[in-house]
Amino acid sequence: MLEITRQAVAILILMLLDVSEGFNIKGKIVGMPPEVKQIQDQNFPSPLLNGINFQSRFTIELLNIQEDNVVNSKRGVLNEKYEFDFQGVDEGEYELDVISQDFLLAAEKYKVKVGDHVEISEEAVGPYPGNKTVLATEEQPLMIEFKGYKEYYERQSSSLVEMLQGSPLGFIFANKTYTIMFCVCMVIIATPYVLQWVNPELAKQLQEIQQEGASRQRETAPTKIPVAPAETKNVKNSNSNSSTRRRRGH
Amino acid sequence: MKKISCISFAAALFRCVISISLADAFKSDWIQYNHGNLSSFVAPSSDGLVALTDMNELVKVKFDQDEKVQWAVDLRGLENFDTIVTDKNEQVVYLFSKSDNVFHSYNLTNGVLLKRLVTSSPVAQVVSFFDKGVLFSCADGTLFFLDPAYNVKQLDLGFKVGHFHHSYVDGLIYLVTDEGDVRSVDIDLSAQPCSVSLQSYTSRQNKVIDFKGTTILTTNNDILTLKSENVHKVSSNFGKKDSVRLLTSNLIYTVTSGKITFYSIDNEITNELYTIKITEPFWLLTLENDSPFEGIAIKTSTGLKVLDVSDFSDSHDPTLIRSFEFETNLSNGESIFSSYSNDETLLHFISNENNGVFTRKTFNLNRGTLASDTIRVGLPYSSIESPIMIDFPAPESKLDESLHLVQTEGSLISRWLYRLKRHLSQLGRSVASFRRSGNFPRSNDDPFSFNKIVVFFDNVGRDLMAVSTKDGSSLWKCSPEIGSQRLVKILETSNGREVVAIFDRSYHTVDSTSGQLLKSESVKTEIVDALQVRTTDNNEIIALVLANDKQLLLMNANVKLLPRQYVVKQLDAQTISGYEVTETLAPTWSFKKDNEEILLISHKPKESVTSSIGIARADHTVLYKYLYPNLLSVITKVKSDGTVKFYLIDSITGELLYLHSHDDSDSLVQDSLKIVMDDNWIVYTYLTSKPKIEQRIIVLDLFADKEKASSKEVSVFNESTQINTVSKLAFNYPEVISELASTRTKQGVTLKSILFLTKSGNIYEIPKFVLNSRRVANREMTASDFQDDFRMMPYDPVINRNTYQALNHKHLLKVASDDNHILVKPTLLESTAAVCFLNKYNFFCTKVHPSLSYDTLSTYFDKVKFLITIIGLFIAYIATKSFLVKKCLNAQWIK
Repeated sequence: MLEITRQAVAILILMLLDVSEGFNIKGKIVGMPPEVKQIQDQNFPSPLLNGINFQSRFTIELLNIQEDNVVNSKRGVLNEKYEFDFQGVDEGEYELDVISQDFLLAAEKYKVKVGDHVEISEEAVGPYPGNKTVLATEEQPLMIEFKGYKEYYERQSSSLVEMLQGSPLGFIFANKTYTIMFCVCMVIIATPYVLQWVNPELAKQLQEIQQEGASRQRETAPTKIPVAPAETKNVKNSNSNSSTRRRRGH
Repeated sequence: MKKISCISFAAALFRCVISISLADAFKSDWIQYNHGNLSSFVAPSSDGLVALTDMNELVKVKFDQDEKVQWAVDLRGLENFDTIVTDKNEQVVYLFSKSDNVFHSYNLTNGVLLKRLVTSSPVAQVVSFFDKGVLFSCADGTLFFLDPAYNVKQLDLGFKVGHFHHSYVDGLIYLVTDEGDVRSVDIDLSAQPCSVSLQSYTSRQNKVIDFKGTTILTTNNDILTLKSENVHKVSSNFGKKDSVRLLTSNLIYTVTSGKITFYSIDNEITNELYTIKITEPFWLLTLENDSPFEGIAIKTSTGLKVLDVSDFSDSHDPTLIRSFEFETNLSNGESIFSSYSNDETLLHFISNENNGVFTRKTFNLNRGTLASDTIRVGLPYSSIESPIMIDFPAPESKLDESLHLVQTEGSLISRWLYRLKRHLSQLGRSVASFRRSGNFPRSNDDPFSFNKIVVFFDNVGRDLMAVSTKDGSSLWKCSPEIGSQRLVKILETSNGREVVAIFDRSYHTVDSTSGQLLKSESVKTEIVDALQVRTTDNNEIIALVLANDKQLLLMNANVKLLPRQYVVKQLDAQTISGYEVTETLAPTWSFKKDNEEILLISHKPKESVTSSIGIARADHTVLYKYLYPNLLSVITKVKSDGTVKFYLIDSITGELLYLHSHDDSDSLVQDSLKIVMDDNWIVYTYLTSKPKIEQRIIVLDLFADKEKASSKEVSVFNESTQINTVSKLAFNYPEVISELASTRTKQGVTLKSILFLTKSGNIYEIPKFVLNSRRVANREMTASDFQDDFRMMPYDPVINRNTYQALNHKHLLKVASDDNHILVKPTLLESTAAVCFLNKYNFFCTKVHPSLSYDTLSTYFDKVKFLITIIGLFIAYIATKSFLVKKCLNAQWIK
């Protein structure tokens, strides 16, 4: 209750402070990811001047055309909470530009109509019809949604890891379990070949053991009756045989 | 759908064409900001300061870091701020104006705006309130409290609080206004009942000027002590005109000729304690004391004297007064303040040198050490007029070398022997260097001429200046005797070794490498222009156009001019004239339209090179470009109805080649017109106000028949210069364009791009094939359409902004309302051009590769990985060789 009273008093004071004539236009960038604040709080080192002062890297302008087609612009500034306001705006039609050097916003251009009341709607670039929906009024601030980060740089794509991850086998290397399984499989496949080089006798022994195992299996296994259509199998076999025959015939 | 996929594909292609590699960013480009000179500052700590500058910025400077300027807040376009205050905890800096109703608070660490308040009247004063926020009073007498969460609360003390003095006593903050109203406030912002009033002691002529502890000093040197129930006037013998200062609540000093006398306040009586006699004339300086240090600074003819009375103020023992003398020449702009940290007292002297530099001297009073630092906040120039970008002249040794390479004198064997000798000597030098240092000598040369010199005139300092585009370092400064003369032009001589600065009554030749003034000549008649004209021996010289009858004054009198050279000049707002260059400028034609005002004229740059004269089309025909070099674009406005017209004129004959009237003329914002011409195209941009504020781009591509395209004739009186086809298209751009330029390369083989400087502070490089007037509109693209031009694509009225095309990437450029210059100069690599953007606020340079850097390895080419790959392939070859032999053998056996 006390907190509400305090806030009410603060609002009252702000209203008292706000003595400018004309209308007020307020806006806010919403949906800023928490890491942005974290970067600012931790005073993250940046190679740029004002690199972490993201608020100062916004260009906010309220433009209107005066007589003789002269553009009159009023500059707005963003505070810590990504809020801005223009006070004492006279009647007329304006364009509000909100451009960030770092962030992608839902829209950067807005049409502002100031008459009996304030109406703010999105402005399209070019001959396309814009969204006529009234997004904000004098009482309701314009909420501009954060959409992402602006990318300026092409990254070096010649690293082996990136190459592997970008390949069709990339999904394997994106998952740790798959990667381990893949490596184990590769080792099992490669071992007999490697053994032939490293220890041919052991490789021979292994091969004999494998052959023995295979022949025992053949002896114990029941005779399988083919279930596939005989024609298909015959065709396959005949192909295989014909190819063998062709090779031998040469 | 197909259209969208085409556009996305094209967008993907552009992305790989011109985006900046992360490895190159911050290496191949640099930016220098001009923050200007300090106009006022506060020093919240001993290692830095926060200052307002004359470039309308709030900057934080850190003394002990390489990057001195930690952050800079741009205040352009906002109110006029003039006062800075920091809070007690050194976390927040407050900025306000004594003329505008506004109050800002900023985070001292990162410069983020915390709160912006529009107040009922200008803020008069801001003071820290315990450690819980600040109190600020407005000129209309209202007093507010701003808490750390930036909530505002108005305080009612029962009287108007304009300027006030404050002091902490017994857990309360006492506020005393200049008029003598007193009230105390506790930490919970409750105004305590107070029966005390100074009204009987103060008047309009006798205001409160200082308040320390419970002691108050008034204009008439009355000393009052504040008690909880009443006020006592301290008995003293000070006259109204004496210079009395309050040092602490119980220590006063007076400054009279030749002495400083200290008084204590005991039992409401002042007692003289000690007098220091100073034999030479002196005057008192303002020294901002940081508790517990108490000091007095005086300036004498020999230097500066500081009296440390910190211990004396407690004990009143004169032997504890420490005196320090400094041999420093204090200028008017110098400030002194003290700071106290780690039980040490530091005395700081900050002096502004008015060229973007200030010096900081810090004396440690405990250790007696001095630290001195020169800090550059701004650039050594305040304005940039007529900048030109020129190549670094080749060194003499290099010239000799080149001369021997091309010389044809002497026999073949002697020339071969000379070359062999030179190569052997180079080899010897390399081996000697390797033996000495373990490394082969690295050439400091710039073999591809990436680095250029930017020469310009600083109209504030009245100097000619040269800056290297390698790192922004100042190369030279030349100050010719020009008085108040107006600069006409800066031109480079044909040998590239000198620049000539032409003023309205004189011209000055300066060595472009050293900045040495080689020649200065005064001219009796006013110089109105300067031209580069060709002589009969095919050299280029500078000719000065004099005001009387357009007489020409050649800078080299012993030469003859080549006939049939023409120039165009705009005479007034309505007239353009063509002239033949002889001994005078002989008028040949004139362009004047009654009722039309000339808004803009533009030429095709004479350095423009084009290697391709046509476009191969799908049907195997060639669409020839109209490459006539003497085109002049003129944009006018009809006064009666405001119609805007675009004229293309043959600048030799004055013949009108093309005219286009705008149907959106009524809404054109006049000052927004910008134009660039090159190759066979013209691009101009403007802002419209109706039906909405919109940035438009008009692209005109000119085409001709085969004969005109292949003709390299400069002057063609006897041939038709008619343009066969003009193709034009309009586009929209999402941002306001403040300046235009086009890229140029040495041979003109590389694609051309157009550079857009946007008002939000970016330079976007848009390939010309995007701004193609032949883009297919109103129908589906066919296979032959795609083959009809390089990267042909369907028409989309909006040129989308692509951040990968931003040359300045994350750097934010500061764009001036006028005088923004984009300079482009080809390098020796065909793929690359040097680009610089400069105005009085910043200087940015980079390199552009409109068709990628196809003739050089990129900076991130991994030579080690390349070597490993080669070795890997070789091992694989060896390893698989035995398998291959085995396979071949088996194959043979099967046979």
